[in-house]
Amino acid sequence: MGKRSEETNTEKLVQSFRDTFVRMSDEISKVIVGYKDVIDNVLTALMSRGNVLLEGVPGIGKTMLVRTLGEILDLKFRRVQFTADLMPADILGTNMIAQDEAGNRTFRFERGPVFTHLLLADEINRATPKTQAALLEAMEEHSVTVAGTKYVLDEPFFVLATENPIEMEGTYPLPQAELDKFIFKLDVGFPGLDELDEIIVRTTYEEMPPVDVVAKTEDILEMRKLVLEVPIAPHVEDYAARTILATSPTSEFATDMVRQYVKAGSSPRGLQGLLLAGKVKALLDGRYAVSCEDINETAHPTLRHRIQRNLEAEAEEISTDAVISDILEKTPQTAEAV
Amino acid sequence: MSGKQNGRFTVRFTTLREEIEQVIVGCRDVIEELLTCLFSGGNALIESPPGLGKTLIVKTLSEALDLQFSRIQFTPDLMPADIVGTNIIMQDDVGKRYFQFQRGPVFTNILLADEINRATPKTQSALLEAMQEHAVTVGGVRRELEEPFIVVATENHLETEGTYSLPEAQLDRFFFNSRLRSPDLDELREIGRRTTTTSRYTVEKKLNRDEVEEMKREARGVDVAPAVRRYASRIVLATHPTHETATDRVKRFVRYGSSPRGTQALTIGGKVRALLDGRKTVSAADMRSVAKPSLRHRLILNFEGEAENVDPDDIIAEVIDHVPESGA
Amino acid sequence: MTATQPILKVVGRVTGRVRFWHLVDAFVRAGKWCLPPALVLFILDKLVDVPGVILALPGVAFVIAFTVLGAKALAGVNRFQVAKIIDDQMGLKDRLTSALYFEALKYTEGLAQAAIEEGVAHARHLDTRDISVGTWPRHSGRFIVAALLTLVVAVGPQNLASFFARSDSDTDAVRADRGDETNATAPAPAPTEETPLQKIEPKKPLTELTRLESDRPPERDPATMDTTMAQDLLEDIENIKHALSASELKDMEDAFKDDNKKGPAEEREEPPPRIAPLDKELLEDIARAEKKKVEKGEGKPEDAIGVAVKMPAPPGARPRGPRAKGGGGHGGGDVGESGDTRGPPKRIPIPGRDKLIIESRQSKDILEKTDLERTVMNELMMRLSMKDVKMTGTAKDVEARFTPQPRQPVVEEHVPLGLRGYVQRYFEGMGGRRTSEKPSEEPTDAAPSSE
Repeated sequence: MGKRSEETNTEKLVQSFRDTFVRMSDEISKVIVGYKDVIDNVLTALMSRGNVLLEGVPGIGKTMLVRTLGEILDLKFRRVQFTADLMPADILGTNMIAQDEAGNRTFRFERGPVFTHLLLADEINRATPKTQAALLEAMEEHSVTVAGTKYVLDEPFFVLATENPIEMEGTYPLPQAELDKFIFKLDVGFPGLDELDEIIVRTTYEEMPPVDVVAKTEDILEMRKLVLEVPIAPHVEDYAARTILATSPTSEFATDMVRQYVKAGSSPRGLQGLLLAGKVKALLDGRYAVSCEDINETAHPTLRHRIQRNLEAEAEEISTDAVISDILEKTPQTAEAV
Repeated sequence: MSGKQNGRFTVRFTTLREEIEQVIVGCRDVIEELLTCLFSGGNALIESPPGLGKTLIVKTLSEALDLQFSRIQFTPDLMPADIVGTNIIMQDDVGKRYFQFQRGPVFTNILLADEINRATPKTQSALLEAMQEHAVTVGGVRRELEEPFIVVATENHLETEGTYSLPEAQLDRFFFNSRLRSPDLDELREIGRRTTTTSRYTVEKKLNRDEVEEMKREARGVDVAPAVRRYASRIVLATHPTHETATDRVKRFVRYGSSPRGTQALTIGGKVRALLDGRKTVSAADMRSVAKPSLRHRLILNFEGEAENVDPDDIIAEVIDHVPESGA
Repeated sequence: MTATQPILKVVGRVTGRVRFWHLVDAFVRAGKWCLPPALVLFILDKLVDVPGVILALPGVAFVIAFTVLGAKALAGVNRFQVAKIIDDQMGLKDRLTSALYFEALKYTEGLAQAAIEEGVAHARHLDTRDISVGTWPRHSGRFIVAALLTLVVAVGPQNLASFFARSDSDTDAVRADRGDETNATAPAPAPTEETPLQKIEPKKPLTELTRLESDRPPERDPATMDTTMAQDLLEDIENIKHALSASELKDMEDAFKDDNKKGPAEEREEPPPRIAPLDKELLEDIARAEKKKVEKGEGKPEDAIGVAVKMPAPPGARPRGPRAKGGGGHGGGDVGESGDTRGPPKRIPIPGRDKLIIESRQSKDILEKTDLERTVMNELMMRLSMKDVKMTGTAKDVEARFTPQPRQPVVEEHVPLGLRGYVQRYFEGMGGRRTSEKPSEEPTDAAPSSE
């Protein structure tokens, strides 16, 4: 009897995960036109405790996206425009000298914009490497250490960074080690004709349609926990691991295309990304375990920024997406005995 | 009596290593080399592509030892003050100005200097001074660092654009050079399991500060027979192309061989190995087992060596094969 | 009873199929390795005598390889693999496989438990008949081709060729029989022509035939065969004739009559292929003239010719040489499949005179004997050819003995100037220049038609 209720409990959990996710996505779509898969991927990253790097030209609604996300989740949202003269202290915060009534001087830590839930780091490639590193460290550790004191950030903490692909002058492209810290890199394309039309309609009204709060902090944390609990069968794990190894040209699993065009493959963080995103996908599909198909669906956003192309690939304009498609095609799905 | 003491060293070492292995998958040799550095009082240089867990290894080590841990991400615009600290002008009640020193991240026990080759030479040298002296001097005032102090620096050789490779003299200050390699299929699967499930292992404190100091003393106390000491010297001499005992590969690919610090690394590393094995004296085999991490960063390759991407490990392997254990 | 019993049941039902296809795969893989050496060895065997032991080696290797690979493949078939196949086929997204794994590894909490139950639920609704498991292994196309090739080489191309040639020689014999049949679509009528002859059952006379054959040396180069052999043949036929029973003779006669249902008149009605208008007229005139002659009783029926019109041969083609002489080999030359079995027309030099003399041979005169004998001759030829006895004679031989050489031109008419050049080219194209008018002189063709 108890077991029965436990089972239906699980079902309910999964069902509510799905419902909440879909509601979140739909609510954001009230404001944002199009970009359904970008929205879904951003939400997936949020559920996987990962951070997202968006690549796209200005003016397509990235700020709007993050702000709306904050609104539907009732989370604090901050935006930082990265510039060439931005200092780490401008992000993390500084120690200020304060004087109390007795005249004693002490240091008081003034918190920087990083002390929020959702942080939009706009044009992160404009800032100096030191500033970039400061942000990325906070992103990784979910904590900030200033003047020897460590301050922990509130959960859920989610960074959405953007890169401007056009103006590359005076920018510091993120090095591989930093790129690796983002679970997804999403290419945000320019809207299509219908979408532009709709954008005009929506933005030339006086006010945006109001969005409801769909979930709160506790819900997000619950959902995150559920994601971690999704089981993976050994053959799916094996498939995901072999896919990651296939991205490295020196591995036995590498395809011919990888050997020809790839300088360096994904780190184990890529596997982490594949598995976590796969778990979210499984739950969204109403299933209780990850399948190989889930891994295939999340491969492109997870790996496209983790594969470093060599000169030949750049010359022949072979994209990392093409390499990933090739790997998915050629890596076999097998099931060994245990 | 001493036999029991040696056993204790092994037990402690193994416990520590196993605790770290609860979190880190694979790379046992790197973990052992790191611990050897710790107990030898030396600093470690780790060569590794990104994402393989360098931060995690060092952080876990610090948690297992209950020591303070700091991480500095080296970038091209990092200033020495960002490492050692700065003096800040303060004003007291009467309006007199004075300096207050704000400590930099170097004031810690275990410092992870990540991607040290990305910083400018000036910044690198600030760190290296601290490493050497276990003290920093700012504004004329010298401040000691707390013991134990160990720096673990990392280099990423994949992205060498805009990097400043450590000059040889500075490389020499690192006791061991370890190489982290990419995990194989089984290791990768285990990593996947550990990082994507609810089980988060909490690292337990295994050794305290005093125990670490004791182990360091024990390591130093191990005997080395003169013949074995000379063996270490012979190995180092054989790495010099101008020396008569130089091997073929050395003559062909090496511009300048290891400094005498190499013999120190061989000897002290050998001592730790001997202790781990439950012995009281160092053997030639112990030295051979630490030869690669001791010497691979101390060989300066010539142009042909660089052009052909010769791996120093191959040169060292040849040297060990050729140098006799006993002799002059 | 485990929780995943329904899944195991489904898996069990499909496993047999999976095992079968694994065996197929092992078969192809073993064959892939053993075929090339086998092929090489068989080819070698044609040139050098290879001892049977060595020839058998690839076969033995194949058996061993197949056994090993097959055993390995079968052993590798585990329930997870089969479940995965079912999952992929039915679009179940690894539900069954995951359920089996979770149970095996004893993950029974929370979501894993739910996953197991969901897998079981899906398994219950599965109809295993919907699951198609078989896929041809890679390269099985090539494998089959290579296997066939090896078979061909092993059996021997001659045997195969003669196997196919048998059907052809039937056609040829019939054509020789019919004479000047316009047979633009020779291959098509061939099957129907064979049937009457087949009525003749092999009986006693044929045993004598067989004996005859064995007396002859099997391999004879037709080009050097002397005429005496053909003489022997005729004598034999004389003897055989008397050995046939009355009913058999009657059968043969009937068969012959069937063959000759189509009289000369009919033949002329058949439209010849690709005739230029002028030629057509000319040749029709000739045919009509002939007809008149026969009707008037001036000529013997045998003299009647059918009009077999051939367009000029493409350059490089062989003329219808000895092949056409009703030999045991293939009928018709390379140049169009007319049933024309006449020899190449004589090349008449036309030194300015507007007179074209067309001569032709009447193929019905191959035997100056009765129709019956002719039939027997055909039959003999056919059967001999089936037994791969090289019995072709040169046209020279057959001509010399059997054919009266017509000395008079068939038609003597004035040829319009415009046509002259064309006709000249026509005959040139058929066989090159002749230096003499000797009928027995052959053009450049020297190669025997069949082996």
